[in-house]
Amino acid sequence: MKLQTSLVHAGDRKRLGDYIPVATPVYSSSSFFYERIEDLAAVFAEERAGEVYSRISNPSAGALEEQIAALEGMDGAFATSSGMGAVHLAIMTSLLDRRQSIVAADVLYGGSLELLASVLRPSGIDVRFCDFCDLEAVREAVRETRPALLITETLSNPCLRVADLDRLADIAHDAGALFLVDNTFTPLLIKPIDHGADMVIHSATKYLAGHGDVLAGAVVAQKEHHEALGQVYRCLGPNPGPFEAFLVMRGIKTLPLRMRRHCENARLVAERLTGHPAVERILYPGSSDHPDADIVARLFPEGQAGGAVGVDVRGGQDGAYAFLDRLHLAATSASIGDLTTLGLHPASATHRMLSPERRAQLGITDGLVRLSIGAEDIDDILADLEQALEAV
Amino acid sequence: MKQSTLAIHGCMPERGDAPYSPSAPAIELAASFHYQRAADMTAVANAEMEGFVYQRYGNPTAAALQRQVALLEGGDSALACSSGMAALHIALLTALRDRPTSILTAEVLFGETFQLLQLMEQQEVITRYADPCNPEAFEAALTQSDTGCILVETASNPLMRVTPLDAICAMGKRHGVPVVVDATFTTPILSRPFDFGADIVMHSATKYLAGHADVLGGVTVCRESHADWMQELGRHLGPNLGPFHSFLTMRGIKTLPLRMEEHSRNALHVARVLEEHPRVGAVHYPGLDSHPDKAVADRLFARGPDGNTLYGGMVSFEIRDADEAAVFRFANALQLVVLATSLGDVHSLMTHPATTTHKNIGEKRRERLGIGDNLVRISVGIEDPEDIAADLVQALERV
Repeated sequence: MKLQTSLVHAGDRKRLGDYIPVATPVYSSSSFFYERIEDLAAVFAEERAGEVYSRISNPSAGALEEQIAALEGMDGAFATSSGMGAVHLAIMTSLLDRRQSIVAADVLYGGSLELLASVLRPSGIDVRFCDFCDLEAVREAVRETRPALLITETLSNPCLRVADLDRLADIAHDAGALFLVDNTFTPLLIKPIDHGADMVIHSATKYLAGHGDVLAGAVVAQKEHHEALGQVYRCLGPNPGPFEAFLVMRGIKTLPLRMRRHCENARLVAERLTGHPAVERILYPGSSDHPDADIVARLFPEGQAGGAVGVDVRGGQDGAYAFLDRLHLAATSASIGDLTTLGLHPASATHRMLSPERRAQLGITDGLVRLSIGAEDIDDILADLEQALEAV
Repeated sequence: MKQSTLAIHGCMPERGDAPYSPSAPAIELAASFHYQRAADMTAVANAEMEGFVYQRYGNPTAAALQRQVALLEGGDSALACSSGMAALHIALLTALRDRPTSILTAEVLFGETFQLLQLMEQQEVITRYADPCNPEAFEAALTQSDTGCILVETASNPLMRVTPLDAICAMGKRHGVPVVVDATFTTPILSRPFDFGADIVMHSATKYLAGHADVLGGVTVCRESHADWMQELGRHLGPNLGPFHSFLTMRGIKTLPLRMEEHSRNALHVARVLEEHPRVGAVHYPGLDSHPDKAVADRLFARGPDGNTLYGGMVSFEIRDADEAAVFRFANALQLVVLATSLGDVHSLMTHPATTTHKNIGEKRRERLGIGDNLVRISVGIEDPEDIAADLVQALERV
């Protein structure tokens, strides 16, 4: 063999010895090698399990998928390169061979609203938005449009309303529709499968990865949906990279610790800022006067209502900006679920595409700041928030 | 700047007035960017100020790759995607914005592309097929109905038919139909579809662009006129390529010109050896005089430093009188050439289209297209050409 040849091949396709790495490695390989072509053909013919090409499946992504399926108590997961990739995958799969019609909650993450309104609706899909806290309105929309799916978030972004998942699942299933639940804000706290969800969506960028250093997502589903999900997945190619899959997996190992701290800190922030002279109102699902308190009591573990707190600051956008700009420890950022405390002004960021009238209607006021409470020491968080509110 | 220079310098950060700059682009992992002032974040989100907000909207590492590929292709805007299929989906949705009606394409296509087109029929985007190597027939199909876009591969997978891009793009212009080109097999080193008037170009970057079998990715490149909608689709659908694979793709592209010359030289050698071999039937390689599209390739493809046309690294051939079992004996006898479902790697790879990449299109369709059970596809690597040819010959002896 010539040197030019051996430099291409030496060290590749190296067989492991009689050991298995403790942590699943980063499998940064596009395709997978088989000694015998019969084995490769058998994998393609779906007669045996195996990896052939990383768009279809990859061992690093596969390990993450197992972990997320375990988290949600469901049969399997399909990891994606972003949370929106997961939303898109779940919707396209739910529409497969069914009526091209969707009923969606009217308060959703801005990216999901834009996907539904700016991409799917113009491509001929009937998209109906309605208030998912008004079950009669949902029933009417379902009667009128006979949708293939209903889609909602466990905690609406940014208003932090909590819809009655069990009732919504009944409405969906009575109409033969699938019920899709975005559980990005409440992993571990809510298991949508226990409340009738057919598919669960995560932006793994947020609490699952939790460190602000990776973009990824996942669709979690029971076995009956895996074939359709797989079919759409391999066509759309939304696969996460193996490095990203590795980082998300690494993050999920501390998810229970982090969520406990996020929830505890958020509860204390909500308590401290309620009644603060610079604050109009606090949006926190754990408050006793939250409009959905009954549902919260049923869905969430005692005292754990997530890590997000809405602070409606006096003085509208000026007040909100003054507050955000004065923060030292917390940062203004478009994400949530990081170890660091983050703030965002939805009206000019995630929900800026909505008209001012529409925002007002939905309760996304100009003074609203969405806080994602981090896992820092609560005294430091409170001190930072209180000193920043002095700027309002 | 010439292609070899752009490949090396295209992803490097602007030096500006800084006293020093890094010798390689950084892997930027941040999911989001922290702002001192809320108003600045709004300004960036509204594109009134340059910057990064959230990785799905844009990431410095992916942005450097996008710049590099846009420069090499001579396009205005690029979007790095998680896979070639994601890039193709974005390319088609971008092209179909004004008329989401139908796609006119070749019948010989990458198998998964065929599956994507079937999936898109759910949203009533109908696909019609015609042979782009027969421009008259293709134009007749184009005039028959309301076509939203044309999709062609620069060289077809796996038969290596070369699309007369100049004719197809001129046709698209005449009829006001955008042309989407899958340039995965040829790369901007062999041809730049924009030079012929293409509207959108996409790559499975997994293949030649990254080139080292360690990346899954895709890139879509377009002209200014399609750029806003393409980038918006990227933000809404979230097919973003991660920073690690963005970096590895850039690193791969730096040697793309060297590799494409070597792939082409090696493939021509292999094709000639195979053509002489008694156990080999048809050999499909555009550099052979026997190939129906050699003249098209000579017209469209760039020349290497030695003045010879670069025909790329993909060769397919039929093993004479071989059934599936005989092809499998050949595959299992290979010692150097790797049995794997990809192409464009530094390693030579063998694929059996009938049981892998083109399994899902069905036996009848394969038969009609000339993708028989005895067809073998070789992605010729950058090893020494004699080693590659010797391995194929010894495996042929064991059929």
